[in-house]
Parts: sequence; C-alpha cells; structure tokens
Amino acid sequence: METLVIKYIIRRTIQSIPLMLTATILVFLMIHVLPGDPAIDIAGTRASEETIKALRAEMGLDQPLPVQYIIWMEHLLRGNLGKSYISDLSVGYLLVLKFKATLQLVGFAFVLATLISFPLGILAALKPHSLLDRVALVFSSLGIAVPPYWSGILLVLVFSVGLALLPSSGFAPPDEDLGKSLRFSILPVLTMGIELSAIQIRFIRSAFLDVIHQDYITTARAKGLRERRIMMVHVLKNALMSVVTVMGLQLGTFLGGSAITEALFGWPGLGRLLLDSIVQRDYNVVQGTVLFYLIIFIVVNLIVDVSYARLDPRISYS
Amino acid sequence: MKRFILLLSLIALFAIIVGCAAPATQAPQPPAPPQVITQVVPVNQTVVVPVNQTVVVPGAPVVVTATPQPTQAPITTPKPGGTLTVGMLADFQGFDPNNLSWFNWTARSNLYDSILRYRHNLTPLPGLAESWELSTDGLQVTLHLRHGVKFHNGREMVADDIVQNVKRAQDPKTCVHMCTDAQKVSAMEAPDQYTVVLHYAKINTAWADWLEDFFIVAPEAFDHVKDAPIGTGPFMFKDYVPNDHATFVKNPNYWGKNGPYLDQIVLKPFGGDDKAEVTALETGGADLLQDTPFSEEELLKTKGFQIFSGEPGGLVDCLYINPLKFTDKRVRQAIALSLDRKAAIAAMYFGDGEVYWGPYPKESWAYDKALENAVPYDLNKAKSLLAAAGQPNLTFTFQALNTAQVNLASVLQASLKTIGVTMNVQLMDSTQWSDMFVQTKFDVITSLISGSNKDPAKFYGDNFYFKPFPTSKIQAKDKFWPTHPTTGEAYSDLVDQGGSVLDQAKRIAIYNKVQELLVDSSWTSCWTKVSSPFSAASYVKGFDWRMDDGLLFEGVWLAK
Repeated sequence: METLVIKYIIRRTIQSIPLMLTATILVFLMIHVLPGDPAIDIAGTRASEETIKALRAEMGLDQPLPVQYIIWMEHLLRGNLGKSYISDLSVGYLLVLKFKATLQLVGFAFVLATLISFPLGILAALKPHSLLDRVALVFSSLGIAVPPYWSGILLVLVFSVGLALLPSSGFAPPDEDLGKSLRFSILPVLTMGIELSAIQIRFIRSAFLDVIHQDYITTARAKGLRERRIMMVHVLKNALMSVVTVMGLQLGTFLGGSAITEALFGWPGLGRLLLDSIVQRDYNVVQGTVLFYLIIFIVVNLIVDVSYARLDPRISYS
Repeated sequence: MKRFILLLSLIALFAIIVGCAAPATQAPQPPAPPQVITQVVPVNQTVVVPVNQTVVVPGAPVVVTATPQPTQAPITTPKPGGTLTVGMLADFQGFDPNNLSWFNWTARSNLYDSILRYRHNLTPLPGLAESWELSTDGLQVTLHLRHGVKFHNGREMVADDIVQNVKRAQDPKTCVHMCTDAQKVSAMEAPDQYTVVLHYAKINTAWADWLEDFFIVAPEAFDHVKDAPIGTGPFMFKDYVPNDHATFVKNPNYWGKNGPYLDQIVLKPFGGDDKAEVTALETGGADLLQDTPFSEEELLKTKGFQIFSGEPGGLVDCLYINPLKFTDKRVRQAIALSLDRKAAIAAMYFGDGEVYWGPYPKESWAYDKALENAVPYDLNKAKSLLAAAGQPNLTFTFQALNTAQVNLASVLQASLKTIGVTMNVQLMDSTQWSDMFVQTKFDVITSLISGSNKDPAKFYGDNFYFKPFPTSKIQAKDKFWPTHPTTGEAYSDLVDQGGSVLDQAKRIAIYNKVQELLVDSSWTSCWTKVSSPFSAASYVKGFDWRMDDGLLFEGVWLAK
C-alpha cells in the first residue's frame, strides 16, 4: 500500500511538470508586458539616462524577452530564483521568510475555523431547523457576505481604537517574542478565521445531512448501535471526504489569497510581498512567488488526494 | 415570526457592537487637564511652558502656570533610552544615500553624515568637515575634516574616504541621483589625512548645497550599501526585513554633542496605506509618522498629537504641461490659467498650502515679488488663448499618480469643462507613472519638487523637468528650446549663467528672467508651496528635520 502511494505521488509530481512549465511562461509574460520600467522606478525620476541604462543592463532587462526567459529558467533549474531588484535580497530567502509569516496566519486561522465550524456544523446538521441551526446559518451567511477588509477594519475599530486592547497592525516572529506574536495575531487570525469557518460550516452541515439520511445509518440505528458511535465512526468518516476536499482547496486558496488580510494588518506575508512586487515590477520576486504558490497548491492537493485512501478504503492507487 | 425576531435580534446586536466602536471622526475633545511637571530650573533662566502644563520648581514655593506659548519648554533634560517606532508610508529601496527617493531620506540623515549641514536656513554649519574655504575664483573648495570620526565598523574616517565617495557618485553605475553634482568636480586630491581639495572647471554656486546633501559611506561597504550600510551617523544599521521593518541602533561612538539618546529606532512601512499608519499612531503602534496625510492633521491635533510642518518652502507642487504635445505656448498658458489654485490646495492638501506661481518660496533670495499673481485663475483669458491657438475644444488626459492627485485633477477638469475643454483623468501606479514621466509621454501631470528652498543652481540641476531640453536622446528628436519673451535668451543659457556667477545681484537678475520665461512658456506652472506634515505622540521630544524635510533623530528622546 505504501509503495502504491509513493508511486502515486511520483506519478502526480511528474504530471505537474508541464503545468509548472506553462505557469512559468504565463507568469513571465504577464509581468513583463505590464507597462512600467522597474529600472526607472528603482533609479527614480531624477536619475540620469546613463544610470538607468546601466541599471537595466545589470538587471538583464536590456536583453530580448525570450533570452531573459531562458536565462531565468537556467537559473531556476539550478535552484536559483534570483534577487529582488528592490532589496537585493535573494528571492528564495524572501519566500521562506514571508511564507513563515503567512503560514502562521493561515495556520492559526485554520485551527480557529476548524474549532468553530466542526462543532457548529455538526450540531446544526444533527438538529436541523433548531435555533442552533439558524444561528449557524446566519453566522455562515454573514461570514461569507461580509468582505474580510470590512470585518477586519471593524475589529480594529472596536478592539484597537475603541477598547485599546489589541494592536491594529504589526508582526513579531513567535521565536523572538511569543506573547507579542500572539497579540499581533489575534485580529488578523479572527478576520481570516471567520471567513474560513463561514464557508466550512455550510459544507460540514451539508455533508453531514447527506450522510445522516443514508440507509446504512438507519440500519446502524436499527441494529442498536449507540448514537455517539454512529456519529463518530459512520457519519463522520463518510462525511469527511467532501469536507477534506473543501478544506484542502481552502488551505491552498487562503495561503495564496491572504494578501488583503496581510495588507490590512501590516502582516509581512507572501500575499503582501506579491502585491508590492507587482506594483514595483520586481520581476524575480513576482515570478518566484507565483511559482511558489503553484507548488503549495499542488502539494496541498496531493495531500488531500492521498488522504482519500485513508478515509475511504475503497479507493486504491493502483 | 420567531425566525424574523431572531434575525432582528442578531442585526441589533451587530449594530450595538458597531455603535460602540470609536467613530472615525470624533468631535473635538475637551482640553486635557493640566499636567504637573516637576523640574529643576537653572538660575536666571526663563521658563517657557506649553499650554495646559504646570511647572513646580522643587525647593521653592512657586508654581509657574502656563502661558499660551506654542513652543516646547527648552529647559528639559533629555532622557536617554527607549525605542522610537516610526511609521513610513512605503518601504525602503535599499539604504544608498545617493538615492534621493523620499523613502530613503530617513536612512540617509540618520545612518550617515553629510560633509556640511544646514539647520533651517542656508548658512552652512560644520558636519564631517569642520571648516572649509572657497577660493576667490570659485573654482576650488578645500575641506578640513573633523578628526576622530568613526565609521560604524570602528575605523576612523579619513580624506581618502571622501575622495572614494565622490568617485562613486561620479560613476553612472553607482551615482543614482548624485551624478549631476558630483560630475561637476573635475579633479580632487587629499594632501593629508584630514584635508580634501575639490576642483571645479566652472564656477559652481551650489557647491555648499551639494555637500550638505552628500552623505559618506565607508568605502569597504560600497558593495553592501543596499543591505548592510556603514556610515558615521548617530544610528547604526541593525536589521531589515522587507515590508516589515528596519532597525537602527544607537551609535555609542557618535561624534555629535546632541545625542543620540534613543537606544534604537524601528521604522515600519505601511505599504502605502496612510489610514493604517494613522491608526497605528493612535493605538500606540507607532510613535511618529514620517508621512502624515494632510486629511488627518486636524483630527490628530484634537487627539493631542504633535503636528509639525516641515521646512517652509521645502516642497513646491508644479503642473507639467508637456510642450512636446502642446507645442503652442498659448495652449499651455490656457491650461495654467484654468487652475483654481485655492480650490486645488483645498482638494489636494486640505487647505495646508500657499498659492504660488513660481518655483521659489518667499524665503528664497531668488523669489521675484514682481511675479506675484502672474498666473491668475482666469477662465475668460484661457478661453480666448485657446481660440487664438485654434484649439477651442481641446481634449487631453491628466495622468495621476495617486488619489490626492485625482482630487486636484477634478478641480482642473471642472474648470476646463466650463470653457469647452475635455480633460480625462487616468490613475496609474508609481512604476507606470515614473516610466511615462521619464519618457515624457504624458499630457499634463503634477509633481512635488524639493530643494526649491536651496540654491536655484542646484534646484535646476536636480529636477528632471526643469533641466533645459532636450536632456537625453529620448527627447532629441523633439526639440524644445524655450526663450525669454523679451530678450530672446535661451532657457538653458540663463540657467547656466545663474549657476556660474558669484555676484548675488547678477544672479537675482538672471533668475528673475528665468522665472519670467517659465511663466511665459508655461511648460511648468507651479501652483502651491507645501510643507511635509509630521506627526508624533506627545512624549516624543527633541524632534528636528533637515532643509529637505529628512527626519533627524539625533536629538530625539522619549518623555515617558
């Protein structure tokens, strides 16, 4: 079984290579056709033409586009993502640094969302049309309808400006100061967690409702099994298939789509890095970050697919 | 019915939470109760006390109550220690002092020192040079360097370091924005460890302005100036995380007598979000803001924050009306006459600006009083000029860099519409805008210029669009040679002359002609003078800034 899984992983990895290659071409073209010259942006409008030309040559931007792409791919295949034009730091270093911050944010938000959505979703499914069900649905609807930049600003107004309990923005690495790190995390994690849980509640409720009414559940009850065992063993396991799929997609999406929350709370993550790099035409960083996002998405989806075999013994990777 | 009531209850709960949150705009707060400060007051010294503060003199049964003086009490002893958190609108672009981008100015003036200094007027003060001489023919500047100044790596600064820095500033690959000034130095030598002689092929009246703006990097750190800078300034570089923060720590071996007092400065960029920046100041996430939105000044004042206006005349905002597109000067004049300057200041700067018609502030010796109101708001005249130029129904685009400029454009657009001119507004990001600006592919833009409070010769050298045309191969095919309306003298010749004579009276006459030419030709039309507003928490003391509004933290301390 383990050998089959490994073979499956290898097969999926090989299959993703054409996707990655296509992505590199698309990203390269898209960022390079945007109007604006990064050499001028870096050198400034006061710089002489000679300075701008020298800078363009140093950045390799004086070469034709196909040549620039080949040079970038050559470096990429050797594991070198290049340097940021703005900070002169290696793109690889920046990605690792920023990914840690994004992972902290999305990770905490995911945990919070799971702690909210699972109990609420399951209870809502078990007691449909009850007060709890209504609360869950309203919470879910509001969470989906209200954009994160709105809910985030509201949280800042209440907890930072109004009550002066929490900082409005900022970041501290947990290994430097855990207490400070947690304080900075609360509002952005709440903002993202509410959005995540709102989506998850609906899927969990829907998946549970679907399974609860299956014949085998009725049979299990008829056999006299305890309700708790029925829920935890039969209902949960079968419902988890679709829930895991959605959660996997969400994780990938939020790891890549955290830019709004990061910008709102001054969180120095990947999303903010990508936004700033696009505005500054920091080509290497944009290309490296998009590729990184793609890898994350592929890996997360692979993990989700592999987990299916654990959840459903009928699934085989042969 | 039950469901409806439940839904209403939830909405009401939500509204209560929102209602309890502090409103974005608050009514003015009542004045704070008087603070009692206990201080030791030197004998025979006058105490000036800020409003609402009471000073108790220990050992004497005297209570001095505030008189309404707006200045800070000068007698307070700086308290060493603490961390100052500074909010910046955008992130650094490296720490190279040759880069004059606004976002690098705080790094320049605190990590490094300049050869000379100015403090709120154009009288040169000692910096890294303790004294200097200008030869009688104006072609040689001898600098006598301060002894014992150490770079942050512990090595003493010597004359050869200055020479290496000048060479770096002359090299097109590394000069960034210093090329024009540095390349005027034709030769230099270091006859001893503490003397540098700069030779000029032509008189350079702006030599002191350049040296005041020329910051020295340790030559061994030239290759790392972007990520590990080494200067001689009051603060040393500690670390930098892009889009998060940069940390500067106190230089314990600093040569200056007034500080540094702070242990460290943390500079935090806010990714262009000025509202987040202001919120951080209000909630204690920042102690001082380098870039305070004009729209927030009054609100911050009512909340007890200090608001400082930067150097008078430090910044001038000018319209650039592209002469390569609007080749008939009557069209350019018409556009300039269509700008209601007062309304524009209200729209873009929330009233915090002064109407102007030329590039020099009133504080400058080059200011020409005769040109006051040279470009009035006159739509009738604008209309007749357009008709005479055969373009009564002109259509063009205003390229805006940010929403504040869009506000300005709206004012101009509304005026022009009344005389049949259609002006479209296009908002661009900074990279696209800079590219368009340098390539001269815009129709009409507006741009802030700094340095107008310094020597005009440096002003014309620094500012791209005030340089005589054509300045590069990009523009060579479209020549634009503005001439004085009466004397016919070429703009480029007048600017050259102004920077090449030492006689002040002659220079004033020359620059008066330059300003007449600028108004007549109208390819630029300056419309307001502004000062950069800085805001700080009440406990931030000793704050100062350079003539170019670069923040100085050398004397800053925290009264908390």
